Amino acid sequence: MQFQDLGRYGFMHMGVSQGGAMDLHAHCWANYLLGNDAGAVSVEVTVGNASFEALEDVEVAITGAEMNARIGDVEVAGWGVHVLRRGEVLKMGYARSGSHAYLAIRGGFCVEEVLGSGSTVVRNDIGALLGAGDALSAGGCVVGESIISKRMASDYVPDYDGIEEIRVILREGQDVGFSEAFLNTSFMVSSESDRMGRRLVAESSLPEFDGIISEGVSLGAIQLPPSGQPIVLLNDRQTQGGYAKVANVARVDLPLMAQVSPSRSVKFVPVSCEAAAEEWAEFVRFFGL
Amino acid sequence: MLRVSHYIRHSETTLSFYFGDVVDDDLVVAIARFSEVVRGGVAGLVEVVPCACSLFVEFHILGSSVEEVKRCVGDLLDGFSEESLVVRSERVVELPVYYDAEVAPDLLMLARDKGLSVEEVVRLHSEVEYRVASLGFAPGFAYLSGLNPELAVGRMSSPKVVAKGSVGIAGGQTAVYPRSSPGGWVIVGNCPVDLFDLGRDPITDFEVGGVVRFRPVGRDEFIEMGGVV
Repeated sequence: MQFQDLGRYGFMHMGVSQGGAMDLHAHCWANYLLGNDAGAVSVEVTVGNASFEALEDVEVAITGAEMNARIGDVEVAGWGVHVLRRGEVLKMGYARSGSHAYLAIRGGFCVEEVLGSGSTVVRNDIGALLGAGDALSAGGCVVGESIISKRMASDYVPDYDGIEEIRVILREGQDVGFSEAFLNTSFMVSSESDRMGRRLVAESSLPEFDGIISEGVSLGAIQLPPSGQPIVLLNDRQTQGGYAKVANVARVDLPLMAQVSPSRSVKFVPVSCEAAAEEWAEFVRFFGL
Repeated sequence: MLRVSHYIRHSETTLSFYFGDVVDDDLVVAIARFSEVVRGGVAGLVEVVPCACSLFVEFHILGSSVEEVKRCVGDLLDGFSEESLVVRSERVVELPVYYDAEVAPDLLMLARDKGLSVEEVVRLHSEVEYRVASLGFAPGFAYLSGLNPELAVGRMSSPKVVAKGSVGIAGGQTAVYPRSSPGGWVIVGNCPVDLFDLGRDPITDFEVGGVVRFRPVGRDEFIEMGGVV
C-alpha cells in the first residue's frame, strides 16, 4: 500500500525512476469521480487486505481491482464515490479480480512532494510503504464537484479477468519472423512481478537475444533477457537497461498489463504507433494530464 | 563530430537517437554535452537521458511529435560544434574509500584471483581517473569507465545484498552503490560519503562525462566521515 500520483518526470537522467500509479486509468477515474485534479495523490493497494478508519467525514472513491470493499457490513461498489462517516471503517479484502485498487479522497491525500511528485518509489528511497497506524489527511487538489452516489457507467468498468490480449508496438526494424513467433506465443504472468516489471513466462520458447549497449528504457518496454523469459518494464523500472527489447506495450493498455492476475495468460497483438498515440492523446486530453 | 546513425521510436512518446555502436569516452562526453543542449532547446520534452551511445528522449503527447522532435534535434546537432564540448570545465568528484576486507567482502578474493596483493589492487583502483559514463540504475549511481584492465572481473554468479557505499567492479567499470541494494558487482571498498540528496538541485555531484577519483583512507578517517564497519 503506497501513495501514488501521475509520476515524477524530468529526473530520469539522474537515475530516478518515474514511478506513478501502475493503473493510471483507475487512478485518474477515482480522482475524476471526486472532482479532483487527476494529479491528486491516491493510495495504491496491491493484492489487498487493507482497512481505513475515518477520523472525520470524508468522501472517497475506490477503483481498480475488485477487493470486496465494505463500510462496516455494507458492501460498497467499486468505481463510485462513497461518504465515509467519522468512526466508520472501510475494509478491503484480497483482490478477486485485478491486482491494484485505488483509494482516492476528495482533495487528494497530503504527501510531502519529492522532486515534484508524491509518488512512492521504494527502490529510490522516496517515500515508504504505508503501514498500520499511519495517519492520512486530505489536501486541496479539487477542481470540481464530486459525483456523489454515482458510479461510472458499467460499460467503462474494465473486466480484468477477461484480459486476453494486450496491444503492443513492435520494435522498429525487427526481424519479421521473430515478431511472428513473439505474437504467436502465449505468456503467463509470473507471481514474481513487482512495480519494476511484470515477469512473463513464454509458453513456447523464444530465440535467445544478445544484450545491447545500455540505453534508455521506456514505460512498457518488453525486454528479453537471454533466459528467453520477457519482462514488461513498468513505473519503477530502472532508467537504463542493456537487454534487447522486442516491443512496447501501448500506453492505454498498460493498465491492463498491470492488472492481469498472476498465473493468467495473455497474448500480444500489434498496434501501429500512430493508432496507439491517438488513443493515448485522447486519454491525456480527457483527464487533462 | 557527433552524428546520428539512426533513430528508433520505442513507444508513442519515446525515441532514441543512436550515435555509434562502441562505448568510448569521447562519445560519452559529446552525448552528455549535447543532451544539455537538447534539454534546453527542444519544446515539449519531459525526459532527456544521455546514454553510452545514444540519447533517449520522451515528449509530451500533446506537446510535440516524433517528427517535430527529430527535426529539432537534427537542427541542434547541425549547430553543435566541437567548441561546444569545451565550453564547460570538467567537474572533478573525489571520493574517499576505505579499502579493507572488513567492509569489502570480495577484496581478498579478487586479489587472489588476479595474483595481486591487496595493496596492488588498491593502488590500481585508486591511481587512475575515471569518467562518468552514465547515471542510472538508481539515484546517485554512476557507471565509471577507465578501470585498469588488470582489475576487470565478471559479476558475481548471483546477486547479494551489498552495503551502502560499497565500491564495486563489474566488467570494465567501477561504481559506488549509493544505498544498500541487491547487486552483483565485486566489492573492493566502501565510500562513506552520501552520493545523492533528493532535496538538493542537482541531486548528485556526478555528471555524465565528469571526472571521478578515489582517495584511499584509513579506518579512523572512514569512521569519522560516517563510515560503518
